[in-house]
Amino acid sequence: MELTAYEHDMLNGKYGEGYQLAMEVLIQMGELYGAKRFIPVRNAHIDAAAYTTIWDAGTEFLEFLADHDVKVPQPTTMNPLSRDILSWERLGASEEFAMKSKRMEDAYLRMGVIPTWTCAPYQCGNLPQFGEIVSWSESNAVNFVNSVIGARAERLPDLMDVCCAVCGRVPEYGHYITENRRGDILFRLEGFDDTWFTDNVDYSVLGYYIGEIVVNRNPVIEGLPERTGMDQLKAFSAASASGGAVCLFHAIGLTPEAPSLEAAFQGWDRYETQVVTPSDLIEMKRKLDTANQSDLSDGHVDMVLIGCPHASFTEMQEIAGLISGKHVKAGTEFWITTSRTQYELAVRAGIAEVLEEAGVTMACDTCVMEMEEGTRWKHQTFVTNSGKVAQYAPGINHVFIKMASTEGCVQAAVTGRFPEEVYV
Amino acid sequence: MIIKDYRVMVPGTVTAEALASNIPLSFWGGVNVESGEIQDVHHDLCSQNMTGKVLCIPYDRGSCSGSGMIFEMIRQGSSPAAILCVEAEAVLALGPVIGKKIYGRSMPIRTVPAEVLSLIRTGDVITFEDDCIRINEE
Repeated sequence: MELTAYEHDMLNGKYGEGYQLAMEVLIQMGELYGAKRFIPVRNAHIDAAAYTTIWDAGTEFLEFLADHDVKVPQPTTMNPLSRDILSWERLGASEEFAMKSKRMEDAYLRMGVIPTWTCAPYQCGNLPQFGEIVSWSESNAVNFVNSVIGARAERLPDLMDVCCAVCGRVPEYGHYITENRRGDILFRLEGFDDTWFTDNVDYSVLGYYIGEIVVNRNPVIEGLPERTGMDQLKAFSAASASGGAVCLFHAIGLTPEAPSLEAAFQGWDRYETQVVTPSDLIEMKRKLDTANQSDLSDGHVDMVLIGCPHASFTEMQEIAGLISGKHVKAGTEFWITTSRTQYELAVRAGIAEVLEEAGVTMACDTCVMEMEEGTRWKHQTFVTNSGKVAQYAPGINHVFIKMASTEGCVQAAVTGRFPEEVYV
Repeated sequence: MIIKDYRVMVPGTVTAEALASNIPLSFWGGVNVESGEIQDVHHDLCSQNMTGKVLCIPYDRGSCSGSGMIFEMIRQGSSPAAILCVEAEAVLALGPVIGKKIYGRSMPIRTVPAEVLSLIRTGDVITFEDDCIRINEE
């Protein structure tokens, strides 16, 4: 790779062994993926924040950097931890585990990061500009910022995201390059009436369906309604990056690089077209609903989970409206995972109080699939609106899944039974 | 079968049994780092163990955290002996790259065309040589 004088200095150890190690890793990775040079960044989001994703090996790596006085040179937000910083004890984490997380958090704080601890940094003030090159990681967030904001991001692996954030540089490869942002395949939605795409769950199921087909190609979607909002695009981003490895999608008329089919495909016209109909999504949901396929599940709901990715103020407001005056059924838990900043807004608006009075457990800074206690639960069934939970929780939390709309999730929490909703 | 059409993503030679599937896998959420067991219920290798095997999958998918999982598996000694795939995204390659720097241990990764990968079955003996890949060849 061609290096600037400053990059050479980092590599040669002029700024210490920490920057040197990070630069060595980046050069090796850059050369592996055909990058000829680095691009400077002014904005970063680091994924590698949960102890249960980077473990002792990752912690030792971070401490090596922090011990060598490495500081991030640009604003750098952070993904969820494996614990709620204030409530880990109440939520059931052991002290030993909480301290493992703290050790890692301390290394990051020494490096000067912004402790957002959220997987939806774009809903907590980290909003890059259109076209801006960013160093982001976390599969949903990369997909969202690439597609919905039109900034340029690539699926940086955990710890490579740290090296990039520390050096303020990303190798020029993948979706940083204009040609690689071209749509690869068109999905045309047909036969969906106005009752569809009114709730996050439809976007989750569509995202998973498309992700599974395209794996790591760029899908173009035609036919999503104009009213599609940020939380729905968040659900789609997370699900398509879990069912597959989607890093960039174009939704015609909704996302900034897709005002038209021609723009989304950069003038290329030999793309394949797949028609998506309601029966495809009904079939997909049936596959994700592992609870329906199990004899062990009798319709009882152990846990309702909303907040993957982290719930926004607006999502909590909707749930509070639905659950106000009711209470979560004994024998069932209802968890909402969110960022500390969105939670504080919910407190100010009186929404958090409504939710907590109704028996909802609010967990901040963390993720049910990355917590220690989540792996110890004896739960059998999760009801969720998230395609990402449907993908990972069966393996991590050993549960069966039933997907539902936000309204269906609230109904399941209040009755303790599968929601009575005809999909969809 | 002797394969000459391959690319070395992470260097190294190895001989081990294949654990093979045509379904992409996410290491985070899909694999237990301590035991090396695949725990993704949507995957056809669910409950199989990858430690010491040549894991043959077309791609990785899902979480960016796969790299941290592989790095820790290299530290603990629970990683596959090698990975053979069609495309090795950075999420797969990063773990062995820093594993080599921090712990002096790596995990070779090579890529082959999809039609070659689809011929490999679980239990086949795979050898990464300096100049070729052997499948069921002494």
